[in-house]
Amino acid sequence: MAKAKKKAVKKAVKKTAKKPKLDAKAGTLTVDVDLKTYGLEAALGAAYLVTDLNFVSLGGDRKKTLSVTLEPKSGKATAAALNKLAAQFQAELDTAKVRWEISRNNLPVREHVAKLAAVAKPEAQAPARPNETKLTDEQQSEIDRLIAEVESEIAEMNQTKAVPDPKGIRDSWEKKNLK
Amino acid sequence: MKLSYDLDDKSVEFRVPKGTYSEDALRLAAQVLSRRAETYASDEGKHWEVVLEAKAAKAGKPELRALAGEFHNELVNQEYRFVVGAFNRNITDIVVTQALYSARGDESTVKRRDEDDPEFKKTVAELMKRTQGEIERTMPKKIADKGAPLPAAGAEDFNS
Amino acid sequence: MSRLSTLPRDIEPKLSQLGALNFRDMGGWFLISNDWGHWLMLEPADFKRVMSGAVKEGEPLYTELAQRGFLRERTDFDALVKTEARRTQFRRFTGPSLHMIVVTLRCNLACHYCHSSVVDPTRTDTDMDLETAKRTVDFIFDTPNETICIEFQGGEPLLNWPVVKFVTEYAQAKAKGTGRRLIVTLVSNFNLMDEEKLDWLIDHHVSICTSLDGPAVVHEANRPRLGGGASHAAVIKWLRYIQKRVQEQPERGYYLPGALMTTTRASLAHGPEIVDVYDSLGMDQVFLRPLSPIGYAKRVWHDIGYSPAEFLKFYEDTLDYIVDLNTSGKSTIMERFSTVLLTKIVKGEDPGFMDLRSPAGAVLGCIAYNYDGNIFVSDEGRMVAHQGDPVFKVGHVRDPWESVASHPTTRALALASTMDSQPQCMHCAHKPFCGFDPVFHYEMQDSMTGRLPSSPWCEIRMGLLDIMFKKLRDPKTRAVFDAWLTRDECRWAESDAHEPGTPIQETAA
Repeated sequence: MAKAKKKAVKKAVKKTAKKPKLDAKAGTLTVDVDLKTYGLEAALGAAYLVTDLNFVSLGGDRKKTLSVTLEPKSGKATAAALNKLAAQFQAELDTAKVRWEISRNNLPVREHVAKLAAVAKPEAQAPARPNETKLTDEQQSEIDRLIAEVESEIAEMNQTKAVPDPKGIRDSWEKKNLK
Repeated sequence: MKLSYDLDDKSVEFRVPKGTYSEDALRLAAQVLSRRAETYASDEGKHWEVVLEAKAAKAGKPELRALAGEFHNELVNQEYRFVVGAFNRNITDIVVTQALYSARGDESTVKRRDEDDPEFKKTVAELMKRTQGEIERTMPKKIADKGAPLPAAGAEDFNS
Repeated sequence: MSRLSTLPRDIEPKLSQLGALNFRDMGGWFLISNDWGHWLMLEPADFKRVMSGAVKEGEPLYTELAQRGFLRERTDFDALVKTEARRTQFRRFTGPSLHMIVVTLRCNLACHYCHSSVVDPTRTDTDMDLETAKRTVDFIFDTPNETICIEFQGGEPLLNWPVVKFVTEYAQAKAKGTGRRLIVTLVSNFNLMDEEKLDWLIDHHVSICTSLDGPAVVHEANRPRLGGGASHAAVIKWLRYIQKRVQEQPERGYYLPGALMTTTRASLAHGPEIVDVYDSLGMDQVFLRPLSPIGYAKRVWHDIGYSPAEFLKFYEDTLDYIVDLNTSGKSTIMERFSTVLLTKIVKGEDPGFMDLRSPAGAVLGCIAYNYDGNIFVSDEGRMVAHQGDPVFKVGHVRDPWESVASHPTTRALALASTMDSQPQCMHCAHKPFCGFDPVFHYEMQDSMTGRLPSSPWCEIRMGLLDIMFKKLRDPKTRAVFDAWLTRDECRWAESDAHEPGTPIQETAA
């Protein structure tokens, strides 16, 4: 069953992917990207990501087929290197398609959270407590005194239109994370 | 990239198709590369004819190829940035607006000192007078031109 | 392959179940994360099941995914909003809290990597004058943040000692009158320090930081005296002396001095020795910072610089050494960059590191004042101006704060450094923990928005975060990191117990 599924996936990929054009003399690889399958965002995204090692020029139109030509920066590439590049670019394209689909599916969620977070009331902060098992009684009472001082300062701050403490004294992360 | 070189002019020429790239991307790419090249673009209907003239003292074929290549990469960079920017526009607007608006503050967040308070004015005047005196007593008076002799090695105090 | 990972070929993606997530192939396992700072480490088989929609309700993995916002059908908006609000609390800060004042460009050292484009000590035309100093403090107190931290920089600030004292006293007088919280810090190379100056700094509660690049062989290679001569001995001498004074007089509540190192090519072979020097001085942390090729450093990069890969190797090897010191009980010294990144990763909080905020802290969190009263987005922005390009100047101390806050460059930087507007960052698993520096990219790539696939900034930060996540998988290292995070919180809590920035009143004997 798994073998049949693999074959079907390969066939589907074969249908949508046009064979890239290798020009070993010029040292370039051209891939015609079907925008109905991949979308402009994914096509541009994959082209963008490979600009670290390649010069990338585009052709075609932005509705149907984007032609992406890659030219390794290092100079003329061999046929073998260009074949490898073709496989790498195909992987980038397929991955970009997945990334953009996830992004499109979840944009409303991200926007909603961003809006609400921007107007959310700041949390009241309590200062941290160190690992208590390692402190002596004297150390613990000193820490308690310091914490009490900071807590009253924070309470005073929150009553005015003050900003949260820029030094970032927060709820103890042990309190939040230890189970 | 189909490139034509003019090595005497230190320039490289190529086409930028209008159906693929926007004019905004073209202008931004030219701006980004402006430290390294002058960009000339003529509107030829379905494409722009772009010429990059290298500013470096020497520019052979490899340098001009690299210049043209970086220009094309910058075009891709800008086009993709437009796409990403448009996609995340609402989120970016919220984030930037919140940060800028908060940072600006308003009158009520700034507690101003009463600058007319006589006691405070007296403190500041004394402080400035004292500091001015110290500057006159202790700081080097001569402002050196460029090329003034450097202090000797191991000299400890440049304030005397 | 690009810097972002590609999906393994044997995965057939089924994405309808998935919430917003980015993924990264960490070599043998996968990291997934989302905008809100939640993350999970997955074995390849689990990653495959996640991406192909095969995780079923009732499984432990399903619960873990749901709790972290990775499943659309189980999105807990209240929890995500709370997480995001806490993570991005700095966006509510009213204005900058850190004000870096360059009181002079004169210096007695000739550090090879100096950003400050210093001039020789006779150039008093580059000293901040008294009127500009007063106006600078007035401007600072017109910015709205309740907390003001003034940091003296240079050149060597001690070369304009009268103005350092004036700014401190004037600011303290204004802070007293307005009820603002004031912290004053001096960054000095210590080569001009003396007892009289130190007494004054202690009396006026000005904390001190210096540069210490490690053992003498590294420090002298990087930071020779102008005209020749050694600078390392003075640093060690004064660090030890100030520590002694602090420890002998705890009632004065004065700070232990701090030190920062800068990594250059000369440092790369000496990681453990650098740590040993800091440890021998009783420093509780060392900050393994990469050097940015900005200003003068850019011109000499071929001599002092290194590739991102070289820095990352240095960093990881030295971090391993530090962790070993901790696990063996030989030392408790921390590494600062780690604690900064771990604060974001493990605690989901902002560590107050300007470069790792989205948008970055330029102007919004910190601001730089040149000796002539010109205001810049950051110290690096000031350096770009010193090389002849004033693009990062946002005003002058005679301007109102509102004009600086709404300056086109301020706004451009805020937009450029917002990760959601950055193409590569948008799909990077490290996005919630990382940051973007427009000034760096302007200098390196001629563009404030940069080109991330070929950005050394990106390569280094991505590499650092890869290292952090890999280290978190080792239980021994995780225990060390947890201890550092706890101590880091205590340090902040304890420092808040004092009232910094005000003169110490002598107590009766």
